[in-house]
Amino acid sequence: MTSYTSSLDNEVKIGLVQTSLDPAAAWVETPKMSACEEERAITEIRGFFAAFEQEAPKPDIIVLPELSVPTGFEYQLRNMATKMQSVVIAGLDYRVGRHPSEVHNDALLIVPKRWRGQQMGPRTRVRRIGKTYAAPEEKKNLQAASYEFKEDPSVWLLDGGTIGTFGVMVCYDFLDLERIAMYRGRVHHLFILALNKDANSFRHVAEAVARMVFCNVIICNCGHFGGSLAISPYRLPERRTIYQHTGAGLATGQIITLPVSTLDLHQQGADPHLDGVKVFKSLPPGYNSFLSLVGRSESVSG
Amino acid sequence: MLPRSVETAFLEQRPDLFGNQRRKSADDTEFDRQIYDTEDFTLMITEAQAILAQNQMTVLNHQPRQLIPVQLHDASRLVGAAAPLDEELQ
Repeated sequence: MTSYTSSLDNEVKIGLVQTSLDPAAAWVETPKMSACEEERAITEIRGFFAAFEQEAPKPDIIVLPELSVPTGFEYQLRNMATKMQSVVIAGLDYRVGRHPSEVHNDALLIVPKRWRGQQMGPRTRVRRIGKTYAAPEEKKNLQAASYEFKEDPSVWLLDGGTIGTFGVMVCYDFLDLERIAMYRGRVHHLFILALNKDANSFRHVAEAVARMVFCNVIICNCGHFGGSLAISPYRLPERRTIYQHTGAGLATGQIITLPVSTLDLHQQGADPHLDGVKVFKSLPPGYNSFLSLVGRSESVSG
Repeated sequence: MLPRSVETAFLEQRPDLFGNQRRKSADDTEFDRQIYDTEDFTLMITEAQAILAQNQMTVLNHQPRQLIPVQLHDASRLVGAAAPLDEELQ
């Protein structure tokens, strides 16, 4: 009998923030957040960080929606991440590229110099994770304002040490089937930063991806539309939805806990049980058993 | 090499230049990768290329796509075309 062990932590704490930014009021004719929405976004972000600061333990990772952070607030956000000692994954407002007519839609990955009691580096650093595909409406709106969306083809697989590996996607990229296939069998968590009117359809995709990639799926949508959620592929349906927000026009913040070590054991094939019941759903076909289907297809056709 | 890399290499090889013969003084090179010469550099590039090759996938229409594995420790140190150094952000 094979014995399985996991070197990962039991769980990870995620701080999920929805700011109530109104897209229609935020981007009027230019891809730069309007001053009043910017002010509101900063007030809300500061408020939720202050609330998280009171928690013990503090969240390991704080997630903010797509395009929620004003460009001028990036440096302050980095300082807040340093003080909180939390990794921050946040959608940044449109950033002008090398050519003035090009704009990027990035997620910021802020790694504090100290995280989970360990020194991570000499100073807090920021990395950008770009959006690959613009949503059709986004592209149309940018073109109408004489701007061009700049695609970023990079797909990052981030190793968070004992909290497991994770991927980050910006909104429409969540529907990129190739990207989903690339992450299968390699991640414990997928973070999706969204600004999506149809949170319901994203929920269905999240359920499917949680099962097929077999990982925790965390969608952080903007509060104007609501619908942020976190799903883990638990066997019991009542455990599967770890968090779901419903209702439009609301700014909310919530700290949630996601499984890590048990999920990792299950991904390895250990099939952990709790009170005599299997903890997770069965792994999808081909997850860790590689059949040579090409050879079999040849024998059928031959 | 960048000036910082040169200095880091010297810190290790010539501690006397920095008044640190006993190697007890604090330095900030814990997170700097030691690169002494072009051979070291070539070896690291080869290793990185091998890891990237392992993470290439062909999915639809036989078009290759690259998954880039990064440790969070290292994520804060990488610099790419779309990722300016944080110093530039200040």
